[in-house]
Amino acid sequence: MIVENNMAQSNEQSLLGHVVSGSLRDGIEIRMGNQVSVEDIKEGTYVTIHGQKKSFFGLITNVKLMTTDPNLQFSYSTTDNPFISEVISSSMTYGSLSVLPMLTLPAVLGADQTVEPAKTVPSHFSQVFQASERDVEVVFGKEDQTHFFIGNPLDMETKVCINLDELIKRSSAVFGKSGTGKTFLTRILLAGLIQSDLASSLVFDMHNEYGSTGQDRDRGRRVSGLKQIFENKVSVFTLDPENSKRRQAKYDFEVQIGYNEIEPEDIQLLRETLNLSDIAADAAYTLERVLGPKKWLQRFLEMEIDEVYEKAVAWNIHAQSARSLHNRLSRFKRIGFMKPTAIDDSVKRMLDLLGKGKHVILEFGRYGDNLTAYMLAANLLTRRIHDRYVYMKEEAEGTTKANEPRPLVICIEEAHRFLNPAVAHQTIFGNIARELRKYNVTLMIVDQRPSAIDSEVMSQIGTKVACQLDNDRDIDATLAGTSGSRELRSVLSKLDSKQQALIFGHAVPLPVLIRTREYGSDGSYADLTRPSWHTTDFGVETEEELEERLKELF
Amino acid sequence: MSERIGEIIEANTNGFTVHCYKLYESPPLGSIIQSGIPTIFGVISEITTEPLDPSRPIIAIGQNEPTEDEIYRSNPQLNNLLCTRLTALTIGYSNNENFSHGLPPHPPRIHSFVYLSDNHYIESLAKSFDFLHLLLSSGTNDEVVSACLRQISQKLPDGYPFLIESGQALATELIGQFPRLNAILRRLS
Amino acid sequence: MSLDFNKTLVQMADVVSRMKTSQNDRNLRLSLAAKIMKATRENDLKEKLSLAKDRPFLWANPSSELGNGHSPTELPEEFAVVAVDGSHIDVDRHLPVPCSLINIGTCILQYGTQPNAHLGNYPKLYSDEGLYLTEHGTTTREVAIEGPILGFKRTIDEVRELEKLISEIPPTIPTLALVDGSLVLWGLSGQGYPDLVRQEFLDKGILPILANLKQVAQNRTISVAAYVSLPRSTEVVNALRLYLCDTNAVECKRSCSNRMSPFKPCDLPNELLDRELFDILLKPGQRSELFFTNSSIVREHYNGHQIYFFYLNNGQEIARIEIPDWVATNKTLVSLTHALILDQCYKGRGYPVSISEAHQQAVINGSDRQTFKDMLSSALTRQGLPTYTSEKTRSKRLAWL
Repeated sequence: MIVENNMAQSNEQSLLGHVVSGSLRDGIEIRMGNQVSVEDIKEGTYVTIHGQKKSFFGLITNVKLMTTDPNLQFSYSTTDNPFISEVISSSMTYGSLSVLPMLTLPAVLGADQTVEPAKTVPSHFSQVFQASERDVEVVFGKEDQTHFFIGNPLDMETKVCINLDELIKRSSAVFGKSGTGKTFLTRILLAGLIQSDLASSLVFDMHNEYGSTGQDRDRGRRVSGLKQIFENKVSVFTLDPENSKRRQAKYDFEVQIGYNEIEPEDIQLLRETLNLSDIAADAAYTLERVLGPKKWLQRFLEMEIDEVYEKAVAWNIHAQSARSLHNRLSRFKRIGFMKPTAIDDSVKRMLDLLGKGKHVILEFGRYGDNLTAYMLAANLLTRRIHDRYVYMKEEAEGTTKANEPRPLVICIEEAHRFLNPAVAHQTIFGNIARELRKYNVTLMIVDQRPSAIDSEVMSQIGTKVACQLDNDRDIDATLAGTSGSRELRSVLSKLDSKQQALIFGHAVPLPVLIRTREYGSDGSYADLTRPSWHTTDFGVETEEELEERLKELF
Repeated sequence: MSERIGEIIEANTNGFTVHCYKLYESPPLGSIIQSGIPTIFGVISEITTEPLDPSRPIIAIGQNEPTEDEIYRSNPQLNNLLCTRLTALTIGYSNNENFSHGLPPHPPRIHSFVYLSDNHYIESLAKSFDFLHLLLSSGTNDEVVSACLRQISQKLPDGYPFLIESGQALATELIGQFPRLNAILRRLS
Repeated sequence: MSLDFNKTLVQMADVVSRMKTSQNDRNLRLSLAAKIMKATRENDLKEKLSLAKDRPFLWANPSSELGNGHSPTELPEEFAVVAVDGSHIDVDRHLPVPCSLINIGTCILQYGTQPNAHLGNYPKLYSDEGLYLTEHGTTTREVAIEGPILGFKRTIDEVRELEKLISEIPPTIPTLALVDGSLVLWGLSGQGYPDLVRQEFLDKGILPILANLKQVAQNRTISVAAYVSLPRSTEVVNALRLYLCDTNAVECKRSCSNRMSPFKPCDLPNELLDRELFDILLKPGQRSELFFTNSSIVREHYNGHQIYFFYLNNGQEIARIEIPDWVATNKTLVSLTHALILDQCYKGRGYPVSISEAHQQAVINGSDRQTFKDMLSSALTRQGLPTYTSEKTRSKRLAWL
């Protein structure tokens, strides 16, 4: 009986071949069996290796053609004689797979033991199978509150789940050159966060793609925004209400930024985009000191240029620098949401919502194309929200965990603007990235030029989602510090430009190449709002909703 | 039982020599033949026709005969003085129904009757290619190997898959000897 | 010590030079003798020979002219040839056990639409009583079968085997039965052997067989012949000598030997052989006239089984063929015998192939003889019997120092 069971199990999976050589460091070599064609094997496919004592889970990193005799290539009979060709191809030639053993699997599926990183290799001639759906499920976990279904392994229907707990513990990143689906993936990740209710999120929606209806450029259709899917959980703020109206996009609140909210370090961040010299940028600190905190910018901009010249000497500022600073900062006047005084304390409103577990999406409207406006707003808002989190976190110190601020994930696009080596040490984003989750705030970086991001920041990123990258420096930067980077590099360089991504880092037990889950059909929205693991009898999603329902009833 | 072709006149564990009952009537090269108890199986590796008495030279005698057949009609004693012998390489043996590839513990007895193996035995023989190793390492001409495989394939209901599989087995046996393998495979195709 | 060839060679040279001088004279006499044979009229010859008696040599009685040649007739479509030959191992006093062995080889060749061949050999070992001829009921007068007597026994065994072979051929097929040698047991002539021997090999031996064959031949086409290769006989030459002779018998007996005559003209065929004459007289394929032998052994002991003979030019040599009277008196059988033997010689390249194959079956070569002796010794040893061999044998095998 036992034998029969084993047989059944073996038949279920397809045997690829046997381990013939290898090392832990460089991966193992699999001699493929004759029944499998190399043409059916794709790089990035998962395999399960049945070692003598353990099962291993690994990733195919290379597919090679081998012969048992080097003389073979010199013989014509292997091509002009069909019989010889058939014999030779089924005996002296074989496919070889390079496999990177990643994990050891528990001996008994479903047992308490969890998967562990592979610290050894399977013994000689261990059988290698294409990983079954069940194997993948064991490795990537079942879809539940903390495990979010993000896509499927290539050629499999199994769900690859990303561990959201792990994802929000450290900063994460979505890389990929433009047009490879970064936004698409980010939107799915955010949907996962919203669905799981494990953290709040703040999204700087530079191009108005997350909150309201967005474009699925690959399929050429419009897709629902997060607001439309998670009506009750998402609040949309806008910096450009006119634009929102024109787009017929609903928004909950308008955001204005008062000059009084701008601090000198914001100017530091903008040095590059405003084309300011170091001296000019530093002048902002002097201005704050002489003109008074919160008031300095308002006053400075009210001055005529002659007055600036005049006072520069008194303020001990290089006159030319003061002039160029005044000139550049005057551009703020053309930014619609910049007002001498804001009508509303948007930051407070945001913090309230985030504290309630809502997710905030800030749409930039037209200003998404204005890098100065984008950076200024993102940096300023983040700084103030972070300050608040620092305060809340320190307040809660020594009390119960429940008093701690709810974890926050801040999602920024064009992240290298904030995190390049020149500014990373000064911006709030750099701080957040470096300080880990000390104050329960982490970043979700979306960028197309990972090589431009400060390497120290990169090293702090816990989970990376990489879409196609074609610049070697970007690939190197993405993989820096990752074990098995050589093998991953070859996978990464061959990604399809659409709907494929390599995920590696803390949130997944091993690097995984996925076809991203569907997003855009009605069914896909339903799956997001009512995931299969969610089994509340009332068909509601959160306690809050439940409460609301109860109120309605009585 | 299949056709009886002769008797063993020389035997050792590696093979045996058979004196065919009829001059020039040997099964073709590479045929599977069997003899003795336990039944020992061999592959015909050489067929020789020569004077029964090695001291008697053979000379040309047919200058005035119109045809070759006429030589034998005019000299009927030739059929008695010449004999066809064949040498077989042992490839396996069987006790009852259990077929063992490899050399038997004892050679067959002298004068054991020798039969052409019937399809039943050939089919069980063809289930494994262990015999190829014996043939290839026997020092016999590789032509014997290809002849044998062709003979077997002709006896099987579907011979082509057998030839393919035997080619694969040869490839394993002749690893690093591609020209040799190629030569055999050409003879199989 | 090996033969001293230096000494031998000197003597050989001497012989050869003497032969050369006599050769020219001999060739002249040969051609003359042949001419005379051709010219001799049958009646003259018969008349002269019928008057002759008591000469110191043996002559043949011609059935017709001396010098005629007959060409062969066509071969029948279907025919068979059977032949026997024998060899033996004589009693060897140096062996631990006295015994002898006769090996008879046989050959059956069938030609025509269903050509076939059968070769066989039948060795028989003799020991103890088998080694002696004993007069019935007594042990006092016994004769050891060894040496020439073993040879007689072998001849009888051969002919007896031939008789059996004939019976294996379907009676419808014309058959020739051949033995190597002679049908006349020449050795038994004279007073050299006791009657016991002659009884055994003639009265109880060849005569009943010849009688039986004659009987068998009445119902089927069968011929029996003995084939003598390179015959040294001079019976026809002697007939010529007698024809030429004008000396009276008394004088002849006093002065002439069986080889030569000191008188003219009958010294013409001195030392000539029958075959030398027929070499001139017969074209390839031709046979001579029939003769019948005047041998005393046939005359006195063969009980009327007259033995005839003729010479045959088989293309390679002149052979002497002996046939019993019932063949000789049947023209068809003589033609058949002539044609078949000639064919056998063609096929055998100068010697009847059937006898040749029978001989191959019968022959016991040197190594066989040694093996025979070794087997005998080891058989004795296995039985725990002592194996004495003579010291002489041992010394022959090992020339010790």
